[in-house]
Amino acid sequence: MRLALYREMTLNSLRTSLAFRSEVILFLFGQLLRLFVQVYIWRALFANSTELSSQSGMITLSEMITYSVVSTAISVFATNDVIFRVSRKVSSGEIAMDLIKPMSFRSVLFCQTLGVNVYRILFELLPLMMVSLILFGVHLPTLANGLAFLGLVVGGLILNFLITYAIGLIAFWYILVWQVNTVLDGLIRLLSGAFIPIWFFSDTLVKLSYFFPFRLIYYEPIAVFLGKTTGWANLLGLFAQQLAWIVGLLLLQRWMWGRAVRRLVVQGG
Amino acid sequence: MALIEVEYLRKEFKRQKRKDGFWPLMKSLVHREYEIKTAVENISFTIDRGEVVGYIGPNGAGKSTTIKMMVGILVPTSGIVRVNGLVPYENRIENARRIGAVFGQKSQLWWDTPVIESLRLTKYMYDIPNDRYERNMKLFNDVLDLDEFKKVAVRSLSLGQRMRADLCAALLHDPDIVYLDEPTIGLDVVVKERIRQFIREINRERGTTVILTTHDMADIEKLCSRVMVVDHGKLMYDGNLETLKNDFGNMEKMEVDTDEPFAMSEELRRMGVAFGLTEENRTQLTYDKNSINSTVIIKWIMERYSVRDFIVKETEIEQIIRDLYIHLQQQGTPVSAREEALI
Repeated sequence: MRLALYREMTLNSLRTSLAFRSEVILFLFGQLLRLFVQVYIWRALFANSTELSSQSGMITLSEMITYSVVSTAISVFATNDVIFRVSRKVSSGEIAMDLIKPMSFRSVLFCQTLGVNVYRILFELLPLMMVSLILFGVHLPTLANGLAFLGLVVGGLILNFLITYAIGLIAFWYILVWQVNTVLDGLIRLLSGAFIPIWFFSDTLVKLSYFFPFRLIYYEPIAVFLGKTTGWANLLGLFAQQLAWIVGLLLLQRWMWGRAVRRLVVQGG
Repeated sequence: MALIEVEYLRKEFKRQKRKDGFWPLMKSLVHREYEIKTAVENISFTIDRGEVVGYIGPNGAGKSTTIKMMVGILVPTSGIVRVNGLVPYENRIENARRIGAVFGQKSQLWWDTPVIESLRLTKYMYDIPNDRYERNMKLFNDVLDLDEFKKVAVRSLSLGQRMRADLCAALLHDPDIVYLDEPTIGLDVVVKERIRQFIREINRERGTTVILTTHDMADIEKLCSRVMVVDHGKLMYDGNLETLKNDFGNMEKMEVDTDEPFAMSEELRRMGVAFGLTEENRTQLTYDKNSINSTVIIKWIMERYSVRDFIVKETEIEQIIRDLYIHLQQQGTPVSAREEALI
């Protein structure tokens, strides 16, 4: 059973992460610090007004604080090291050990990433959320929007994996992955709405953000969480967009992979 | 039908030319120049089920490249590889189900988790039924002694332990073929012997085909019925070990201890005997065993000297390979015992 294999791979990756548990406290501290900075920036920006106008109508300060908390929550597992994993495997020749196994390289990486994600949800996300709920008031969504939010987050997670995997595959051609990653980070930070919600963007930037899939990882799910996007048609529209990007990226990767293996040079013996 | 068929296999690598100096370097940023290196050049052979083949040659000869094409990691530039009737690089996953591989310098185990977790994973990876998994584990445990370290994280294993665990992981699913790329590199004599015993047993009891690259000639001598020698990407010799020994291991060495010092003799030299190192009363003689018999020499010596002791040493396989390499460099033509046998 392939499913059992994926489960076991994911568990093994989780076990690997558990071996380095001491990082947890440090990580939690860092995330909280960032969250505090964001919350206080928004407080300063709102100054004495209770509401600011935006592309999605009036936004209150407490909505913005919720936005920051949820965005931080998503970032906990939307940051992965797939790009570096791929490039390390290619440049060290370790990829040979994955290719002698009866499993697609993408599945190997996906399970490894998923294992790390499960670990992060348990040991990073849950503590972070508990502390945030106590320190900052967080709006809770309606049941329908809450469920849609969860679905979109899962979709975003897959999308994020596929984007990073596709970029990681560039390592077969150029070993410039570090630089590419920096560019990607900048793009995500700006166009995903991870820091500044797209509803505060200028019209041009809003248009630009539609050319990239990043908004579907952060901004759209959070907007659903906050109840800014409602109605079946709109929600299904978001899922359809995610699906379209996923299919597109899968096709891109298939094409890249076919070329990548042809030029593979296994380093070191 | 042969299990593995390789025909006119060729692999070229494109390598960027490195430039020294500032301006050439700047130029290379704009216009890159490549050179083509041929790692494997028109190699052909077939391997039957149950064979144990030693694939040897100096560093960089193209051994690993050939193996990587057979397992389906590398795509050949031209030529054909067929394993079990499949083209490995086109059916990588299908092919991977039926083979096992150990690359001595890399591990296929999960670095940070206990050995047993990696082994358990192979059960799911290859859909090994529970009872077969248990049976194999027990069997492999007896030979490889995994119990003593199976709960230890792979990163803290010694090289010998890691290699034993890797071998186990490569064979738990009873593959048809196992590729061993330098499986004994850097190991001590005891572990080497244990690993050889294991490979022998797997081959004998399951009929697993073994393809082995090594620099340790004892591996070849103790395991392989057939040797293939590659150099500069070309197959230089393909045949059984005995023939190789007969063709290139014909120089025998004899050590004679005599009461009085041994004097050089023109007569012996004419018989085709060469004198080697001589220290005090011990004399080394070398001769071509195909043209002169050791008993003739001994008889000749015993008639003239009182002999205290003598030893006849067969040429070691290392020496044979060294001679073969030298022969190849001088002649540059492949020797194929198989082809000769056919004629």
